[in-house]
Amino acid sequence: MHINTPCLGTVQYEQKDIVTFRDGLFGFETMTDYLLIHLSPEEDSFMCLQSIQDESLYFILANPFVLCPDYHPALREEDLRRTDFQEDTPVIFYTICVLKSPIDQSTCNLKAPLIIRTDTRNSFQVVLENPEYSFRSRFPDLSPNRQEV
Amino acid sequence: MLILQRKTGESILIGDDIRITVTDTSGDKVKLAIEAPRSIPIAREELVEAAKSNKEAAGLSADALNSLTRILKHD
Repeated sequence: MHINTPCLGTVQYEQKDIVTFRDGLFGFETMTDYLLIHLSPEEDSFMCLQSIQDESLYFILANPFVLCPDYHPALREEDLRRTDFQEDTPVIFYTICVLKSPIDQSTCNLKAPLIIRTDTRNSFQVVLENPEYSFRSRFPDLSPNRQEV
Repeated sequence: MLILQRKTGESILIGDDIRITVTDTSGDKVKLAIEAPRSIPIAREELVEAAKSNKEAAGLSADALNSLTRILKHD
């Protein structure tokens, strides 16, 4: 199977590659099936979440633990029930980014991360209990100048 | 903004057909029962915020994506 993506051209995939959000994402409740694609081969801090149902729909995701090293997501009880995730469930967290140009104006949504199960690929977006996280956190640390430090 | 104090079991009325009743409290959590016509949307604020934020992220400009790709290549 293949899909024509707006940011990465034609991408081949198999059934097992599909990441399923049973409840969709907030505001996109009917969009359940996605591919998680590397933006660049040697980099996995940033990924593209590409909708399979609507080829024009994609999200740029970042590893929240890279952007915010002391990130400590606390799930609400209702989400623990909904996701049925246990202590030892293998999951990865991603935060959805709103990219701006220049890049240091970009924000990421630390309050409502995506939780992707690495074994079954059943995934959820949740709103965390943590009052300290915002739906729009700036990531100025990502400025192009950081290599010069 | 109007701020009212209510006990468990007490209600407030908004207009003629909306009633909000405090049914339970425990610690910092309050359980509310809301009776309203079906035509009135009721949502948890944070879920509306999350949806708004997702919609901003979905309408990404090519310019912005290019600046990220440039940085990733630079790495």
